[in-house]
Amino acid sequence: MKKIFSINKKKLFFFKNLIIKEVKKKNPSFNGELHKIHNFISGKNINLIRLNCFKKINSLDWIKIIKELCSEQMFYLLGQDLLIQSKINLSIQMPKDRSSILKAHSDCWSADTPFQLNLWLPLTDAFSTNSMFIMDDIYSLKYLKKNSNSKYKNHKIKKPLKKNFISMKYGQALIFNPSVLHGNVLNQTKNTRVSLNVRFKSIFAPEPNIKNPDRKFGTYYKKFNILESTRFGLDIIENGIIK
Amino acid sequence: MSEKNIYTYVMPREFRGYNIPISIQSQYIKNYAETNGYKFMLPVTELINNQSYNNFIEFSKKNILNLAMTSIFVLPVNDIINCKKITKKFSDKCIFHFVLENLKFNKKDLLNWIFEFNKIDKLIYDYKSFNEIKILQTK
Ligand SMILES: [Fe+2]
Repeated sequence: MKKIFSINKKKLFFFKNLIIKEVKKKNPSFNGELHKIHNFISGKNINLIRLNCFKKINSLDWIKIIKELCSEQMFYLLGQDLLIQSKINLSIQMPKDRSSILKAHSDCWSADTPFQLNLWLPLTDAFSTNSMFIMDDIYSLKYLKKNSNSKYKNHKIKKPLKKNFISMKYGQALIFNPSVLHGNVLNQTKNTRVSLNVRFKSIFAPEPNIKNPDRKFGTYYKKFNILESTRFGLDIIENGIIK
Repeated sequence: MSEKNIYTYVMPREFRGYNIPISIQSQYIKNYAETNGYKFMLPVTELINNQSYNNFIEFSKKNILNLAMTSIFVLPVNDIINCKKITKKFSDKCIFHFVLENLKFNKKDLLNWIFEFNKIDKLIYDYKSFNEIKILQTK
């Protein structure tokens, strides 16, 4: 499943502005156009900037803004008792930067629950090879099934087609299930893509067991929203009213 | 006690499914201390004996202001009464740092987090129980 929708640009600007400020610290002549970062920052320095921005964003109350941006959509898709990934991620995909290539994968390969959804927020326009590709559900499931049965050899994943690359404007958001095969290729466009992503999961959906503790609630996820009625139900259990 | 000294507590037993070599725990916390401007103090290792938090409690006698651990699950998170007991003598000013979860609390907020965690965690089942539910449905 995949859903693109419009979000409040003014609120989204909080993140964009923060990154602009970090880039300016490194190069004061930066003009604030994130899609042109590569003209101001070398490939060698971009990861340090990415790490600084990641650290800065995660030290602030970013969840409040994410709530304002996407609660309605997320509640509709997953319900209102929700967990959110503990840290929000940042990607910067500069033209011709081989170090940012992330080959096709399913997040469930690294023990993420398949019941989660990913919110993807481009802070620049995302198109063609500067964007992310997402394969369709049917092919993904077929491939995942085939690959899970092969012990020694990874089966080849078909090359993403033009239609698999997500085309989005700044001010739009995407929600998709990251268990579906997705990734990116070498950015052959003239524009850098900057994007944020963060995962959501219903409290009532299963998570990995103790073999993968770093993908569980408390570490990978934290509380996002709890319904009053759920809280009341918890109080009933807590007080031993239902045994 | 200097506000910038950060004391380190490492766990030689399994916690929440992790079994992390002491040297890796120390290095991880050292890196946290350095990037956040703290002076890293030599790690204190807990006893291997099951349920022992003796060396953790020892810290409460030293009036320290910062104590770092690899994860919040180094503490007996599933046992709130035990958590209250072992943190009881710590000063309200002491900040507990949990590097993996990126959490930083005083004693009161730590206990609140643990209380809230246990409440919600009860509702979350894992794949194993999910399969069990499926089996029940097909019977
Ligand atoms: Fe992914």
